[in-house]
Amino acid sequence: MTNTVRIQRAIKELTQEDLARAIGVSRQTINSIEKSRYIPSTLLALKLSETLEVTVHDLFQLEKSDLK
Amino acid sequence: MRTKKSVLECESETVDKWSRFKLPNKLKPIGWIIAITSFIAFLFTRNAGLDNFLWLFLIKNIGVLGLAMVTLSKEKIEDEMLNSLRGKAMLFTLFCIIFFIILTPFITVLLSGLITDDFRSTAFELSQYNTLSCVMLMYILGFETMKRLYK
Repeated sequence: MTNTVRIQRAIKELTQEDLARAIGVSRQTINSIEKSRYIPSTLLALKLSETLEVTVHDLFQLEKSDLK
Repeated sequence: MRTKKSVLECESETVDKWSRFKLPNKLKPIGWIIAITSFIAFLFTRNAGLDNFLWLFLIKNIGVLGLAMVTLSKEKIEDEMLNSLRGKAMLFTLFCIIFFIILTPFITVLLSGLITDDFRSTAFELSQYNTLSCVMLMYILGFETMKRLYK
């Protein structure tokens, strides 16, 4: 799974710390999501999409390997 | 209107409630201090030859309590990633403890056999304290390592 969290965050001019505080998680969690090391739950994905004002589909995309 | 909950619903709520139970973050350093102090006291007692049953019982229990405080305490910011890491650390601990329980008696007997012919006197005592301490130490080690990996 790939994601555009880092790009969307940069568009919104937010730091990892700002985004983390806005959705109530740690900065490490935002960093792990951006590096695709951690796949967030639906709840967190929806919180991210609401804060960054984009759809969940714009934030997270499935890769071919995920569909196997 | 009052609705009746099924037994399964009540049970799952209880399990859910207890699985989320964590102590405040402030207790973590206190837990470390208690665990390390009791470990030092245990080593001192053993080396000094003061094998007082009640004293050893107290030290071991306090040590296990200290480790439990470290294991069960919250992080500064608790979120879902940390909960997922806790689950992974628990699984890692389970694997380790299975190997620990199965292999330890063989390893200690083998090692003690190399040093002395008296296997029983040097064989590692697989008590509930050793097992519980190892479970908690493995969990702490696994959790801290994963936290560093996901940083």
